[in-house]
Amino acid sequence: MSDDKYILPLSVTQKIDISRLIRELNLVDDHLKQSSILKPDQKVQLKASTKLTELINLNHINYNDQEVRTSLINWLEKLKASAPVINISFGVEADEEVVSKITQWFRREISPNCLLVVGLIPSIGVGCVVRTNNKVFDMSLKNRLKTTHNLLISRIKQSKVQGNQVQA
Amino acid sequence: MTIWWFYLVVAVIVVGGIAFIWLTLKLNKLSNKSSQPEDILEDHTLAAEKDVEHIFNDDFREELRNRGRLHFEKIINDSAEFLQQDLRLTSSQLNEFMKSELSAKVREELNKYEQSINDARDLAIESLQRTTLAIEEQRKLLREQVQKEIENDKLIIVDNFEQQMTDIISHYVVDAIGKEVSLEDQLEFILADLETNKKAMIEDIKNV
Repeated sequence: MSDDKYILPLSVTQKIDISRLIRELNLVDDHLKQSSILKPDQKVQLKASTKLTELINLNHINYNDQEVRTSLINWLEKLKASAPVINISFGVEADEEVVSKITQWFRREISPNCLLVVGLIPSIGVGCVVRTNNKVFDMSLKNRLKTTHNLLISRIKQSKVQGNQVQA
Repeated sequence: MTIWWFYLVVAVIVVGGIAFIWLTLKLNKLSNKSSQPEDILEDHTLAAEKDVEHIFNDDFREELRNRGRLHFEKIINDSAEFLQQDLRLTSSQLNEFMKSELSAKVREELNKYEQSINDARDLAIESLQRTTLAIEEQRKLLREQVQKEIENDKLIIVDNFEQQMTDIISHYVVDAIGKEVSLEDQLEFILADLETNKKAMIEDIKNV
């Protein structure tokens, strides 16, 4: 499958990152094309962004090869159009490390080209809420308490009965 | 004719002679009677009759008139007094009668009035009793209704509390420990939850 041709670095998590990579790659492509016209045999040292550098290093890409560059751009375009996007929200602001670990899990377990949109919902408190295309997976503490609501009520009533017995 | 005249003259003479004899006898008898008391009274009567004009002169008549006036006045006064007494008696009787009649009438009216007041009081008491009973029933109904409403409200409040208990506890937990538990600490549980829902997520992504 062409989607598995390259591997996305963990730092590239969102669709906007893909868009930036595409724009940057197009600029690089133009620059290298012009350089190749001026000096065909000269290898140009690339000064790219961290994410693009990670992408190139991770996939061992020869960016001086125009076909490879074109293939990479096409792959990114295709990825931007069709990659599964998952929204995940936390109660507090998520740092890069956590996002990276979450992304790693999604790309390992769900889809290797999975993209994330990280959001912030303070009312979640503890846990997270994941939204796919058609479903919402509420994995917050609030939802967990709701699912165990009957157990909570029964425990409260039980403790009340025990308290009354103690008073009696 | 002559004979008849003769007879008539003889008869007149005879009758005349008889009348003379009777008159003589009568006068003798009268002269014999005057020497007795009856004759005296008769004399006096005759004398009084003769002297009546002297007795009933103007002074005597005036005196008689005065006496008569006095007597008449006395009679009038007596009659007036009697009439006054009678009038007083009648008046007092009339007063008594009026009093008794009016008292009886007033008593009768008072009795009627009292009876009507008693009837009205009985009606009022009956009406009050009915009203009291109705109010009591209404109060019971209202009490039951209010009790039911209170029970319902209580159930609703308890139900709402139970429904919102998770929110309350969640809010409390989030406020209490939300900022203390970092995402790195939660990561293990988040990954475990993701693992739990992995299959559903994959299916949903494949369905696109």
